[in-house]
Amino acid sequence: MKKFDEKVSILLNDKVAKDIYKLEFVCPQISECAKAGQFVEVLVEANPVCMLRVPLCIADVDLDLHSITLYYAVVGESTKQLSQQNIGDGLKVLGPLGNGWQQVPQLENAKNAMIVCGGMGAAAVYLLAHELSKSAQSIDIVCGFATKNKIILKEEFENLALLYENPNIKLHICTDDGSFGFSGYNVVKMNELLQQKTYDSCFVCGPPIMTKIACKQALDHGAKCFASFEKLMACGLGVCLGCVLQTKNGLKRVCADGPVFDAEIIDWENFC
Amino acid sequence: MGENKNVDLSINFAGISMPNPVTVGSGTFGAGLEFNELFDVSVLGAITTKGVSLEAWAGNESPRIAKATGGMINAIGLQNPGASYMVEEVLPKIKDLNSNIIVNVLGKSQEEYVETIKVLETSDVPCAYEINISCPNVKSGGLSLGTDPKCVQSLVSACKNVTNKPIIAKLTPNVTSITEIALAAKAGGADALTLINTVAAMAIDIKTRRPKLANVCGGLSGPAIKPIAVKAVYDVHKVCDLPIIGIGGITCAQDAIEFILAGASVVSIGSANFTNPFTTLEVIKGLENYCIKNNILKISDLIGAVEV
Repeated sequence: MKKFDEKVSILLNDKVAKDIYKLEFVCPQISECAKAGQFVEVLVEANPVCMLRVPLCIADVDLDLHSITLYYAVVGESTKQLSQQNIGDGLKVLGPLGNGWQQVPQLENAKNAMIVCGGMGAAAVYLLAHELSKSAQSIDIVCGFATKNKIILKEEFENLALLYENPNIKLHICTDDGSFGFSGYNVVKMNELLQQKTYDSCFVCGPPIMTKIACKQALDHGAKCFASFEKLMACGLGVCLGCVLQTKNGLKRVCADGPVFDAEIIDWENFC
Repeated sequence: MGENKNVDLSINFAGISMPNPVTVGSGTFGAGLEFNELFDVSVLGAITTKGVSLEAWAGNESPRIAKATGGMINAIGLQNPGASYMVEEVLPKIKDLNSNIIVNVLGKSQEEYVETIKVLETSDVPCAYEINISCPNVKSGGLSLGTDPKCVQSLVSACKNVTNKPIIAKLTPNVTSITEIALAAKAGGADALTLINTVAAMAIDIKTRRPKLANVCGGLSGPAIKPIAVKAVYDVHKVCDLPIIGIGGITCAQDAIEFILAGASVVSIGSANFTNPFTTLEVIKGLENYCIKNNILKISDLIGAVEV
């Protein structure tokens, strides 16, 4: 698979929620071949203090602008520096990396699908929601956030129903503190929905505990389930073995074998 | 000034003919295949592979890496698929690169190093073995072997007995006197040395009050350790005439030249491959530019040329 290390120019780097930024930049080579669920490694240049790049999932691609969009939360020194970059500033971006949702065999066969995401995981499933919208009869998108001012991509997900002329594409926003939408964890809302309807496919991305519960509920329901995982990583290319995940088929590299894996193969007992 | 465009970057390193003095740190480059998707890795002086042991090793629990100022701390734990897999599945795939392949060798005992080399000897791909007697991440092996001069001499000698290819001993900086270890490796018959492996390190998450690495401790790499590595190369080069691969925090040609002036014949790019996967290419180009600018005909003229 072709990978590029592009010097990109920032089009937008805006705060869109509490401590969360939306970053868009032009990268003709990466945008050309990026697939839903893949990621890039972002390097803020002239930064000898943080030598590791920031791995961020590709939230959206604009083929007309040759740009991609990422979302990131400011959690450490690298993301803080990233948030201080201005329009026109340069970044080095390596990608597209990993195997995303396109490796899911029955993506087109998903008729009644559910997407469960938590926090920044919403960014990892937005392109997936587009892909599913092309052929699925119904999609329930269950997005969990800690609180109201951490919500991202709400309008974008809501617009899918209109864009694909399918009223059965529904967004369910949940907040842990009840400040917006469903009051409580997204996996509780997920469980409610699973009681009401039969789903054939489920797609998950979020914090480890949420991922584990959501995948277990989906598998118990009898749905096929795939999840995108996040781990600390260095190279992003599959050589350093820093981001391995225990599976029933041995250790797998999140960066190169994943980040999307079939939930059936994950060794959940040793997961978290 | 700047007239001479035919700089000779080639080097004869312990009998290995290299087009330039640039290789990669074991464990930061796989066996070259992943980076070959980004650029033609055959232009490197040599490719040093991820370490391999006799049987497969699972490595440490996660988290295996932690950030550090000017570098990173890793405790991967030498996860590898074993020597037979290396010979059957990996080496045939990199044979076509026609590169110098230095295979990094691991073991928990002297016997395991020897047996691993015996398996690797069934392949015609390796041009040399770099024996890792310095990794701080294996509780029962690496470090203890690499810190005792008698063990080092015996281990190198045992490895030499089973191959005609050069043995390069990769030493740890986590000792009182690295020159003593270097001389022990030489006494055992080592053909060359790699200096240095990672520096023993630890990081703690102050919110959870737990170590950032599952293995508790790990090895620091990156620019933070460069001055330590330069001194190790300088100290050893003064007392030991074995050719040296200098490694530790090199991110650019200027760093590489420092190592060469200190006494390294070859430089190795390690964790900088993670920051910028094209670092090796930039270093090769930068070495050439430095030579042109300074009217140096052969890069080998710079080895140990620091004026003290």
